[in-house]
Amino acid sequence: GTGSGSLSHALIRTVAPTGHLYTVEFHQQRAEKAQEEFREHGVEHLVTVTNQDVCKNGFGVSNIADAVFLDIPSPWEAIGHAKSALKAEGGRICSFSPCIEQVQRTCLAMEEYGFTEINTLEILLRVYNVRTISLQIPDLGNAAEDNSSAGFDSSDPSNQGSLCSNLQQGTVQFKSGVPLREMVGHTGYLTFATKS
Amino acid sequence: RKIIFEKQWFYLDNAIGHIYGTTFEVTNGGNLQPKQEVEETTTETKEAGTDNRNIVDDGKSQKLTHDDIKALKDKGIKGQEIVQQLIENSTTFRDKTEFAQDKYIKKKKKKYEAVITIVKPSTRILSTMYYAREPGKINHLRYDTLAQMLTLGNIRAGNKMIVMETCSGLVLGAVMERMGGYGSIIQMYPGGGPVRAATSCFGFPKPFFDNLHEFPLSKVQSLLSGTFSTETLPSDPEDNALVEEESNGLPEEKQTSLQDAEEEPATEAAMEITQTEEQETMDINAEDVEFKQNKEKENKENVREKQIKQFERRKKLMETAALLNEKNADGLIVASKFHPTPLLLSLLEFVAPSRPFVVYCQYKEPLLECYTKLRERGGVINLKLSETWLRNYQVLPDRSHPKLTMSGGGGYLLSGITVVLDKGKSDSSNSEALKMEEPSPKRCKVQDLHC
Repeated sequence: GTGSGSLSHALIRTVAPTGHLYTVEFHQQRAEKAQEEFREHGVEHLVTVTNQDVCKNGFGVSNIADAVFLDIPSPWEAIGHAKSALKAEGGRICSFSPCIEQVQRTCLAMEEYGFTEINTLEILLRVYNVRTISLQIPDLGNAAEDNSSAGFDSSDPSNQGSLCSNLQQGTVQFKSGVPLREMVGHTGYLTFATKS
Repeated sequence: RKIIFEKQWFYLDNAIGHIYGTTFEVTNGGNLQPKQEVEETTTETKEAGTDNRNIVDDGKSQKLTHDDIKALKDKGIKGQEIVQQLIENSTTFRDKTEFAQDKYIKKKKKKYEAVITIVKPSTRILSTMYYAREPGKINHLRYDTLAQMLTLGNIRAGNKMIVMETCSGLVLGAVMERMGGYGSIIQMYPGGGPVRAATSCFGFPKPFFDNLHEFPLSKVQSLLSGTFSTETLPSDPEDNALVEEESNGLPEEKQTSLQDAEEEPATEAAMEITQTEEQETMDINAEDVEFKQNKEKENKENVREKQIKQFERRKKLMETAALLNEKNADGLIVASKFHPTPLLLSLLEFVAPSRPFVVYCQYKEPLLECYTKLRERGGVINLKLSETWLRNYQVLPDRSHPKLTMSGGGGYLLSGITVVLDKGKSDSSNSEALKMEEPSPKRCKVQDLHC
């Protein structure tokens, strides 16, 4: 599921200079664009782009992969092909799906094909902005009250003045890592397994 | 050698020669035996209940006693058989729902079936194990946070990396694994020597270590100010008891004793000493000449060996200092128990511009301060303070749900990219703009009580 080729670039960076990435994309134009970009970025010797449907026709290689990554709508249909692309023992597979139903089908398929250590998780990145924050100190009045005013007399102008001036006086400053107002809550579930 | 793991004890001898991933059974004698593939009999329709409304948990539903089970074990009955016996002797088993039965069987298997699988070490396995069993040794660095560091730091083959960590060498190992033996790493270390207990678990081939250097933190200031010399060194860690593990939470008593820098003679003086000793051996009582000569030969050899080692160490240190002084590292990774700010401010000097750096801290607050100091220093962009939230799921037909939440337990990262540092103006003018204060309170009118 090459798509934009973003993950492919990250994987190429990781396996260079002696490794190789085989990436499959069923959309012809996307496949061509990806190939072009790999060439522009000087990494085409590290990657092979194949334009076919991985669910029907597999990856184009067998028994050599250390790891397989699936980012497609129906990954459970590609599990068998992934298994034959993987090396004989110890290869890892990862499938990325937004919906839990997709995850359930994929886990079942992995089990049927004899994968072990099947494990699903999700990860969210939380970013913090570093800010200096000032918080006001509230006016809690004075410990020693005048006996003449039993409670706080709001109509008394002198009371009003002192309340407001206290509010403006006391502030405490501190540094905080403030989360963004809106953060990404979900992108997809990651399911990992081992071919054993 | 006896290994004890998860309440099982066994000898590893029989494992040698088998491929990674082989599953073994532990026999009664503590030996490993490759496990035979057992055909699961799944075709029988299991008798099961629909819910637990009539199941009373009084602790009496299992008819086998502890002694009965022990007797079975002593007879040499296999774990699988024991589990079968437990099922047959449980009065409530067939009333449980199918799901509950599965859960029961899984639990009993884990307890009674001694099955071990030996796997090849990797960052994934080691970081997961350390986080689960010895988080204190790695400053509670969770494995997904480590994964983020490797990506944010653009760790890859061919880099010249500077790594400063007190995570038993786990972070160093992860970096080495990514670099695949290409490029070079300079590990900065506190105290007498770098701790690489976890690094040795990776099983890297020897050539990986050819380009791994180390440099003492205690010499960083002198290097930066140009006064560095190899005259006073942290003592050779081999002279003292080997510090195998660093305890991150405890005061480093062992380390401080190693830190007492002995005044070591310069290399030329060392050669002189060897010559004086040779002269001394001439004037000895004839009686024990032979014995003494042999003894002194031994001592001389030891001393010479030690001196050669010292010479080699000094040479290596000079080379590493030179590498640092090139100030062209491709990245910096910091993951330690120390406050990150002084480390970053000094170690960034050795990094080339337009390169990534990542700092891990178990706590957020020190990174807030680090961020502020970096802004003041300038020469960095794309500063990002982040953490990853991780959640595991159980995915089973009709039984899918999140397993447990580990958010907030994995530590924090501060990352950024270096740029050319214009010493003339710092970022202080920017820091004003970056300070976002809460909007100032409305000016209170004297009449208005609700401000």
